[in-house]
Amino acid sequence: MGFESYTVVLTPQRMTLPAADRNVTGVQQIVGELQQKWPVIRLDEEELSSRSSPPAKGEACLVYETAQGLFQVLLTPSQGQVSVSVRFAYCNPRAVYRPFIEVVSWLMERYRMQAYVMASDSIPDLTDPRKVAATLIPSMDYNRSLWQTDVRTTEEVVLRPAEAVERFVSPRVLNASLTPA
Amino acid sequence: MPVTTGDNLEPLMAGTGWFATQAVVDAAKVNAYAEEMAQGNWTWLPLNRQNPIIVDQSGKIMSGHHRLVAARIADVVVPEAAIQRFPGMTLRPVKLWHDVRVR
Repeated sequence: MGFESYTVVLTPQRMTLPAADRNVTGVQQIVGELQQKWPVIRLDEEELSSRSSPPAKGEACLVYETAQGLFQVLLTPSQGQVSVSVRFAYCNPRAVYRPFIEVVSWLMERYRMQAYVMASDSIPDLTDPRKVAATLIPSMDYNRSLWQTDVRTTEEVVLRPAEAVERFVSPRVLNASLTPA
Repeated sequence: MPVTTGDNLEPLMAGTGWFATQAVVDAAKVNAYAEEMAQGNWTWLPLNRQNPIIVDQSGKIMSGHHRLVAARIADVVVPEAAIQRFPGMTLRPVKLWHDVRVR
Protein backbone atom coordinates (compact mmCIF):
# COMPACT_ATOMS: atom_id res chain seq x y z
CA MET A 1 0.00 0.00 0.00
CA GLY A 2 1.13 3.51 -0.50
CA PHE A 3 0.41 6.63 -2.46
CA GLU A 4 -1.95 4.74 -4.78
CA SER A 5 -4.50 3.73 -2.16
CA TYR A 6 -6.46 4.96 0.82
CA THR A 7 -6.35 2.59 3.77
CA VAL A 8 -8.38 2.53 6.96
CA VAL A 9 -7.30 0.08 9.67
CA LEU A 10 -9.81 -1.19 12.21
CA THR A 11 -8.89 -2.80 15.49
CA PRO A 12 -11.02 -3.83 18.47
CA GLN A 13 -11.72 -1.06 20.95
CA ARG A 14 -10.52 -1.45 24.47
CA MET A 15 -13.55 -2.32 26.52
CA THR A 16 -14.86 -3.71 29.72
CA LEU A 17 -14.75 -7.47 30.15
CA PRO A 18 -18.43 -8.21 29.44
CA ALA A 19 -18.22 -6.25 26.18
CA ALA A 20 -14.95 -7.94 25.30
CA ASP A 21 -16.58 -11.34 25.75
CA ARG A 22 -19.21 -10.43 23.18
CA ASN A 23 -16.53 -9.25 20.79
CA VAL A 24 -14.50 -12.43 20.49
CA THR A 25 -14.97 -12.85 16.79
CA GLY A 26 -12.95 -14.84 14.29
CA VAL A 27 -11.94 -13.97 10.77
CA GLN A 28 -14.34 -16.49 9.28
CA GLN A 29 -17.28 -15.12 11.23
CA ILE A 30 -16.57 -11.59 10.00
CA VAL A 31 -16.12 -12.85 6.42
CA GLY A 32 -19.46 -14.65 6.62
CA GLU A 33 -21.31 -11.69 8.05
CA LEU A 34 -19.79 -9.27 5.53
CA GLN A 35 -20.84 -11.51 2.64
CA GLN A 36 -24.30 -11.89 4.10
CA LYS A 37 -24.68 -8.11 4.39
CA TRP A 38 -23.02 -7.36 1.01
CA PRO A 39 -23.44 -10.40 -1.28
CA VAL A 40 -21.21 -8.73 -3.88
CA ILE A 41 -18.22 -9.17 -1.57
CA ARG A 42 -16.13 -12.20 -2.54
CA LEU A 43 -12.76 -13.75 -1.79
CA ASP A 44 -10.00 -11.92 -3.67
CA GLU A 45 -8.01 -14.67 -5.35
CA GLU A 46 -6.19 -12.23 -7.65
CA GLU A 47 -4.79 -10.27 -4.73
CA LEU A 48 -3.46 -13.40 -3.07
CA SER A 49 -1.62 -14.40 -6.25
CA SER A 50 0.22 -11.08 -6.41
CA ARG A 51 1.52 -11.08 -2.83
CA SER A 52 5.22 -11.04 -1.98
CA SER A 53 4.86 -13.45 0.90
CA PRO A 54 2.66 -16.43 1.73
CA PRO A 55 -0.64 -15.41 3.38
CA ALA A 56 -0.50 -15.32 7.16
CA LYS A 57 -2.25 -18.15 8.93
CA GLY A 58 -5.97 -17.42 9.14
CA GLU A 59 -5.74 -14.32 6.96
CA ALA A 60 -8.53 -13.55 4.46
CA CYS A 61 -8.68 -11.06 1.62
CA LEU A 62 -12.05 -9.95 0.24
CA VAL A 63 -12.99 -7.64 -2.60
CA TYR A 64 -16.04 -5.47 -3.20
CA GLU A 65 -16.36 -4.77 -6.91
CA THR A 66 -19.22 -3.03 -8.69
CA ALA A 67 -19.54 -0.21 -11.22
CA GLN A 68 -19.20 2.16 -8.23
CA GLY A 69 -15.66 1.00 -7.69
CA LEU A 70 -13.49 -1.58 -6.01
CA PHE A 71 -12.14 -1.87 -2.49
CA GLN A 72 -10.48 -4.65 -0.58
CA VAL A 73 -11.00 -5.91 2.94
CA LEU A 74 -8.03 -7.71 4.50
CA LEU A 75 -8.68 -9.55 7.75
CA THR A 76 -5.75 -10.67 9.87
CA PRO A 77 -5.89 -12.55 13.16
CA SER A 78 -3.59 -10.93 15.69
CA GLN A 79 -3.10 -11.76 19.35
CA GLY A 80 -6.51 -13.39 19.69
CA GLN A 81 -8.31 -10.56 17.90
CA VAL A 82 -8.91 -9.56 14.31
CA SER A 83 -7.40 -6.53 12.58
CA VAL A 84 -9.14 -5.33 9.43
CA SER A 85 -7.67 -3.14 6.66
CA VAL A 86 -10.06 -1.63 4.14
CA ARG A 87 -8.52 0.10 1.11
CA PHE A 88 -9.28 1.42 -2.35
CA ALA A 89 -7.07 2.70 -5.14
CA TYR A 90 -7.50 6.42 -5.84
CA CYS A 91 -8.14 5.74 -9.53
CA ASN A 92 -11.53 4.26 -8.66
CA PRO A 93 -14.57 6.46 -9.24
CA ARG A 94 -15.34 8.75 -6.33
CA ALA A 95 -18.60 6.79 -6.02
CA VAL A 96 -16.58 4.10 -4.23
CA TYR A 97 -16.51 6.32 -1.13
CA ARG A 98 -20.09 5.45 -0.25
CA PRO A 99 -19.86 1.63 -0.04
CA PHE A 100 -16.36 1.95 1.46
CA ILE A 101 -17.66 4.16 4.26
CA GLU A 102 -20.70 1.93 4.77
CA VAL A 103 -18.48 -1.12 5.28
CA VAL A 104 -16.08 0.71 7.60
CA SER A 105 -18.95 2.11 9.66
CA TRP A 106 -20.68 -1.25 9.83
CA LEU A 107 -17.52 -3.01 11.00
CA MET A 108 -17.01 -0.38 13.69
CA GLU A 109 -20.55 -0.73 14.93
CA ARG A 110 -20.94 -4.49 14.59
CA TYR A 111 -17.61 -5.44 16.17
CA ARG A 112 -17.01 -2.40 18.38
CA MET A 113 -13.92 -1.42 16.44
CA GLN A 114 -11.99 1.82 16.25
CA ALA A 115 -10.39 3.01 13.05
CA TYR A 116 -7.40 5.02 11.94
CA VAL A 117 -6.23 6.30 8.58
CA MET A 118 -2.86 5.04 7.40
CA ALA A 119 -2.06 8.15 5.35
CA SER A 120 -2.87 10.82 7.90
CA ASP A 121 -1.56 11.83 11.29
CA SER A 122 -4.06 14.67 11.58
CA ILE A 123 -7.15 12.51 11.88
CA PRO A 124 -7.74 11.22 15.41
CA ASP A 125 -8.77 7.62 15.92
CA LEU A 126 -12.40 7.14 14.95
CA THR A 127 -14.63 5.52 17.52
CA ASP A 128 -18.05 6.83 16.44
CA PRO A 129 -19.40 5.18 13.26
CA ARG A 130 -21.71 8.16 12.70
CA LYS A 131 -18.71 10.45 12.19
CA VAL A 132 -16.86 8.30 9.67
CA ALA A 133 -18.19 9.94 6.51
CA ALA A 134 -17.69 13.52 7.66
CA THR A 135 -14.17 12.76 8.84
CA LEU A 136 -12.94 10.62 5.99
CA ILE A 137 -14.36 12.28 2.88
CA PRO A 138 -12.18 15.43 3.02
CA SER A 139 -9.14 13.25 3.70
CA MET A 140 -10.00 10.94 0.82
CA ASP A 141 -10.44 13.88 -1.52
CA TYR A 142 -7.12 15.42 -0.47
CA ASN A 143 -5.14 12.22 -0.89
CA ARG A 144 -6.90 11.42 -4.16
CA SER A 145 -5.90 14.81 -5.52
CA LEU A 146 -2.27 14.13 -4.57
CA TRP A 147 -2.40 10.84 -6.49
CA GLN A 148 -3.93 12.56 -9.52
CA THR A 149 -1.21 15.21 -9.46
CA ASP A 150 1.57 12.67 -9.04
CA VAL A 151 0.44 10.48 -11.93
CA ARG A 152 -0.91 13.40 -13.95
CA THR A 153 -4.29 11.94 -14.69
CA THR A 154 -7.85 12.18 -13.47
CA GLU A 155 -8.82 9.01 -15.30
CA GLU A 156 -11.15 6.82 -13.28
CA VAL A 157 -10.87 3.04 -13.54
CA VAL A 158 -12.10 0.26 -11.29
CA LEU A 159 -8.83 -1.38 -10.20
CA ARG A 160 -7.02 -2.91 -7.23
CA PRO A 161 -4.12 -0.87 -5.80
CA ALA A 162 -1.50 -3.12 -7.40
CA GLU A 163 -3.31 -2.89 -10.73
CA ALA A 164 -3.42 0.90 -10.43
CA VAL A 165 0.35 0.98 -9.99
CA GLU A 166 0.81 -1.33 -12.95
CA ARG A 167 -1.39 0.82 -15.16
CA PHE A 168 -0.50 4.36 -14.12
CA VAL A 169 2.94 4.22 -12.54
CA SER A 170 4.99 1.44 -14.09
CA PRO A 171 4.74 2.77 -17.69
CA ARG A 172 5.99 6.17 -16.53
CA VAL A 173 8.93 4.65 -14.73
CA LEU A 174 9.85 2.59 -17.79
CA ASN A 175 9.47 5.59 -20.08
CA ALA A 176 11.64 7.69 -17.81
CA SER A 177 14.44 5.17 -17.93
CA LEU A 178 14.32 5.16 -21.71
CA THR A 179 14.44 8.93 -21.99
CA PRO A 180 17.96 10.19 -22.80
CA ALA A 181 19.44 12.50 -20.19
CA MET B 1 14.67 -6.71 16.65
CA PRO B 2 10.90 -6.44 16.10
CA VAL B 3 9.21 -3.06 16.43
CA THR B 4 6.48 -2.45 18.95
CA THR B 5 3.75 0.13 19.30
CA GLY B 6 5.15 3.58 20.00
CA ASP B 7 8.69 2.83 18.81
CA ASN B 8 10.79 5.60 17.27
CA LEU B 9 11.86 4.49 13.79
CA GLU B 10 14.57 7.13 13.42
CA PRO B 11 17.48 4.98 14.68
CA LEU B 12 16.40 2.08 12.49
CA MET B 13 15.95 4.12 9.31
CA ALA B 14 18.77 6.64 9.72
CA GLY B 15 21.18 6.69 6.82
CA THR B 16 18.97 4.76 4.42
CA GLY B 17 18.29 7.75 2.18
CA TRP B 18 14.60 6.86 2.25
CA PHE B 19 12.10 9.39 3.51
CA ALA B 20 8.65 8.54 4.81
CA THR B 21 5.46 10.03 3.42
CA GLN B 22 3.07 7.86 5.41
CA ALA B 23 1.95 8.73 8.91
CA VAL B 24 1.59 5.26 10.34
CA VAL B 25 3.12 1.82 10.04
CA ASP B 26 1.56 -1.33 11.41
CA ALA B 27 3.92 -3.14 13.80
CA ALA B 28 2.35 -6.55 13.24
CA LYS B 29 2.67 -6.24 9.48
CA VAL B 30 6.25 -4.96 9.58
CA ASN B 31 7.33 -7.73 11.96
CA ALA B 32 5.62 -10.41 9.89
CA TYR B 33 7.34 -9.15 6.74
CA ALA B 34 10.70 -8.99 8.53
CA GLU B 35 10.36 -12.57 9.67
CA GLU B 36 9.62 -13.76 6.14
CA MET B 37 12.58 -11.76 4.80
CA ALA B 38 14.94 -13.10 7.44
CA GLN B 39 13.88 -16.66 6.63
CA GLY B 40 14.39 -16.10 2.91
CA ASN B 41 10.70 -16.56 2.11
CA TRP B 42 10.21 -13.10 0.66
CA THR B 43 9.64 -12.60 -3.06
CA TRP B 44 10.72 -9.04 -3.82
CA LEU B 45 8.94 -8.97 -7.15
CA PRO B 46 6.27 -11.60 -7.80
CA LEU B 47 6.14 -13.14 -11.25
CA ASN B 48 3.47 -10.68 -12.34
CA ARG B 49 5.75 -7.84 -11.18
CA GLN B 50 2.96 -6.15 -9.26
CA ASN B 51 3.49 -4.32 -5.99
CA PRO B 52 6.91 -2.77 -6.56
CA ILE B 53 8.44 -0.46 -4.00
CA ILE B 54 8.18 3.04 -5.46
CA VAL B 55 10.54 5.85 -4.47
CA ASP B 56 10.69 9.29 -6.05
CA GLN B 57 13.81 11.06 -7.27
CA SER B 58 14.50 12.55 -3.84
CA GLY B 59 14.13 9.28 -1.95
CA LYS B 60 10.59 9.87 -0.74
CA ILE B 61 8.80 6.55 -0.37
CA MET B 62 5.60 6.51 -2.38
CA SER B 63 4.81 2.84 -1.83
CA GLY B 64 6.55 0.26 0.33
CA HIS B 65 7.02 1.76 3.81
CA HIS B 66 6.33 -1.55 5.55
CA ARG B 67 8.68 -3.49 3.31
CA LEU B 68 11.55 -1.02 3.66
CA VAL B 69 11.24 -0.87 7.44
CA ALA B 70 10.99 -4.66 7.57
CA ALA B 71 14.14 -5.01 5.47
CA ARG B 72 16.05 -2.94 8.03
CA ILE B 73 14.74 -5.07 10.88
CA ALA B 74 15.68 -8.25 9.02
CA ASP B 75 19.01 -6.70 7.98
CA VAL B 76 18.55 -7.67 4.37
CA VAL B 77 19.46 -5.59 1.33
CA VAL B 78 16.56 -4.59 -0.87
CA PRO B 79 17.45 -5.55 -4.44
CA GLU B 80 17.56 -2.55 -6.74
CA ALA B 81 15.29 -4.41 -9.17
CA ALA B 82 12.54 -4.35 -6.55
CA ILE B 83 12.52 -0.55 -6.45
CA GLN B 84 10.87 1.55 -9.13
CA ARG B 85 12.24 5.08 -9.37
CA PHE B 86 9.39 7.46 -9.98
CA PRO B 87 10.32 10.30 -12.32
CA GLY B 88 10.09 13.65 -10.56
CA MET B 89 9.02 14.32 -7.01
CA THR B 90 5.81 13.42 -5.26
CA LEU B 91 3.85 16.26 -3.70
CA ARG B 92 3.34 14.20 -0.59
CA PRO B 93 5.01 15.87 2.39
CA VAL B 94 7.88 14.12 4.15
CA LYS B 95 7.24 12.73 7.63
CA LEU B 96 10.30 12.51 9.82
CA TRP B 97 10.89 8.92 10.82
CA HIS B 98 10.52 9.74 14.49
CA ASP B 99 7.09 11.20 13.71
CA VAL B 100 5.89 8.06 11.93
CA ARG B 101 3.65 6.28 14.40
CA VAL B 102 4.19 2.57 14.94
CA ARG B 103 0.82 1.02 15.82
